[in-house]
Amino acid sequence: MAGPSFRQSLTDPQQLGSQVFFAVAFVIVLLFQRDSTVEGTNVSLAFAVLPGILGMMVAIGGLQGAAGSLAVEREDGTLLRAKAVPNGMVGYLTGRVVSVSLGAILGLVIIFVPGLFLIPELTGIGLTGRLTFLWVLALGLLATLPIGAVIGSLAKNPNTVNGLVTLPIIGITAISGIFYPIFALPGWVQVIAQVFPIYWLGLGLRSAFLPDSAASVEIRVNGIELGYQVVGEGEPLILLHGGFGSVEMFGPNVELLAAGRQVIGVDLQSHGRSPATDRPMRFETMADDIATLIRSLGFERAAIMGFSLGGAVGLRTAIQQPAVVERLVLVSTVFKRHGWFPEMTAGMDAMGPEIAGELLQTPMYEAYQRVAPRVEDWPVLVRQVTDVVKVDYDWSAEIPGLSMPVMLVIGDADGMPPSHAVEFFGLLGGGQRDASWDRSGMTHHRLATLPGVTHYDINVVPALSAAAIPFLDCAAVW
Amino acid sequence: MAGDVDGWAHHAEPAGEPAVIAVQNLQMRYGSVDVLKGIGFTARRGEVITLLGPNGAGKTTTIEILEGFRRRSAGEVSVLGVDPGNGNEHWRARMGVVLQSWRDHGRWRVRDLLDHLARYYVPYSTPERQRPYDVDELIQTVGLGEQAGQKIASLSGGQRRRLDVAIGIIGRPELLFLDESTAGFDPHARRDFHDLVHRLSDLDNATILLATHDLDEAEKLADRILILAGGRIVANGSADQLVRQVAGRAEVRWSRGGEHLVHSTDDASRFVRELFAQHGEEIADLEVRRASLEDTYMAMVHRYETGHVEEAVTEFEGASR
Repeated sequence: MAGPSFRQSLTDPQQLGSQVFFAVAFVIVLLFQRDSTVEGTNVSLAFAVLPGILGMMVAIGGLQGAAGSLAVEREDGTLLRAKAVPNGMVGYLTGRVVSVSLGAILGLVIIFVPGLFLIPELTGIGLTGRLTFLWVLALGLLATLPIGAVIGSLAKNPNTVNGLVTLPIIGITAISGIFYPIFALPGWVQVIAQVFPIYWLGLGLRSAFLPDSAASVEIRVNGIELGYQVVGEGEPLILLHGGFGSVEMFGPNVELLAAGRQVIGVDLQSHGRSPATDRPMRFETMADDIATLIRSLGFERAAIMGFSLGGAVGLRTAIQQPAVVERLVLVSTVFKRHGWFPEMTAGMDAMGPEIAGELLQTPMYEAYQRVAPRVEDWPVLVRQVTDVVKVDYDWSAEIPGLSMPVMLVIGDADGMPPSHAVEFFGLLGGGQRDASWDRSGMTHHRLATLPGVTHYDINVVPALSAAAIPFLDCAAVW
Repeated sequence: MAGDVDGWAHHAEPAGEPAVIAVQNLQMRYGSVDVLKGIGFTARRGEVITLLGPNGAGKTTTIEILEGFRRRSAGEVSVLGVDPGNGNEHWRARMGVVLQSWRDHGRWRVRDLLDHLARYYVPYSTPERQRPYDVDELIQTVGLGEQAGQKIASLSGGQRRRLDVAIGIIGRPELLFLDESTAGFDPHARRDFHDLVHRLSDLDNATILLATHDLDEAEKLADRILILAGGRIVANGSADQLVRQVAGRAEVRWSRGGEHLVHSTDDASRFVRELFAQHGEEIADLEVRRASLEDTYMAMVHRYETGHVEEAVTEFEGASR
């Protein structure tokens, strides 16, 4: 049954036509996207959206193939014919499942083959990725075929199938995170999207194609939820962004760091992917969150790299929970509030919840809009951050007790004078004497001042990871 | 009334052999409309039964219930010894079905489809009844030899029906349902089809239930005719029996002294004898016309179509008794 039936469906201009139409349309989309990259990464946009597109093709092929053929064949008597023959229904269904599946796969091939030329990353998918691709594909067809069959049985005539299938698929695709992250949508829309297989197909195929990145997860720690992204493989590095930001704030540094380790980019309380909470924002509580997160992820300890507000959280984690911090990279981080230039602290003092509106034009809000579970919670985040930056602190007494290696990285035009970093380095025990020929006089702490770098670009300059990677890679026993 | 008809059917059945089809008080209701109001009949092995009736009389509904494609509202039905509602694949393999209209598998070639469907019957072959028929032989038998390699969509209406019949009998059925099977046949194709039906029932001892509204076809093919009207079987017997049943009443026309007269009577011979005894040579233009099966059937159909259903049924029953 399968053989001839597939041959029939292949020679069916209508059925084949819609598959080819969608496939060609998507190839054109990929053609336009191949030179753009996903913001903050060097992943091409085409590569990032391809799994979603393939997922959508599977869904369209499965749903429309099953619904369309069933509606037509119920009308023209094929089904009745099958019923009139012993075991005919079994034969019919087997044939249909095979032919619809092959049809859907044909659609994938039409996208995939040009894709291999347009998207060089495709050839780099490993065996695991390929296997994942296959089982997600099989599962996707398994999920969509019965739904298509139900729609096909409900449709009064073959024409209504298009209305019942094609339009809803386009709608569901729009909310299923195929072309942009689902986190950017209101919660109830996400719930709707997650009811349908397209979302899961996209997610599954993304995990097959992009095993190292873009896998977003949420975890519950200390009564709040933290969103984080895992990129790369190897020793864990907890990456903590600055105020108002999310892990995307590190730009290309995420991928650069991930080349040699597993980067766990955590969005701090109420930031980015982490849902807003009404818990007051304090460095100390956020530090406990990070320590709990490290343990919850199953690590005994992990390296932490934090920028600005995230650096303060990283520093507090090292002070409060030294056992979980393997080493620490503090980027543009002060150990006391008055370490900042006076105009910085004055600016922080002047900040209030009312600046939420002004910040709407910043890249921070743009990123928030893309990843936050509820965009309307932006003012909550602004209120909490403007609160915490007013808190006065001086942790100088606790610095000398830090046992893990600490690296300080600042820009030579940063928000604090280089002398503050030097003072910080001195508190750690660094820069006290000549290291001597055999380096016996030096500590395991490091200090880097990046030339021509400010507080507002130190997070995105590749020089940051270039400076930090040798420190992170160093395997010496301290 | 229905009981009488039923009793008549049982009377015709030889004792000892189980009926291939046995229907008692079958009722079917769509929403609030009673389509079948309690019909009953039986069919023996090798018997050709025609279900005759106007459009909408319930012929197709009856056949679909017997085929197991439709669930009945009430009544006892046994087909090949099984309730069609519970028929399994083995039961399904023993029957053939030719429905009213089929437009399926248009892109398949004639021989491919027949060969493909034939394979489903292979597991049900027995030494006594080899299944399926040889595909090429059957294609020749139904006269599609020249079209064997053609796409089904390119067949003419008559060729398409021949293919449907071929598909219906490919599994060498013990029971064959034919629903309006010769609609669209030319006289030659119809003759071939009738030969095929006779061959099936004579050589293969198949029971055939054929629904039609074509009286001529019913008379030519059927061992027994069931006339269905208004959801009831209003007549059940061979064509001869039915003609005799309904032909009792005759119309006598004559003229006397330039005046044309008509009289309807149950006993035409006696009326004419008396007519001559009374008026002798004054009688001219004498004509005695017996009502044919067709006359009565047409009258019944006419009344049915104009809405006098119950009346038509009752009157026809009266006439057929």
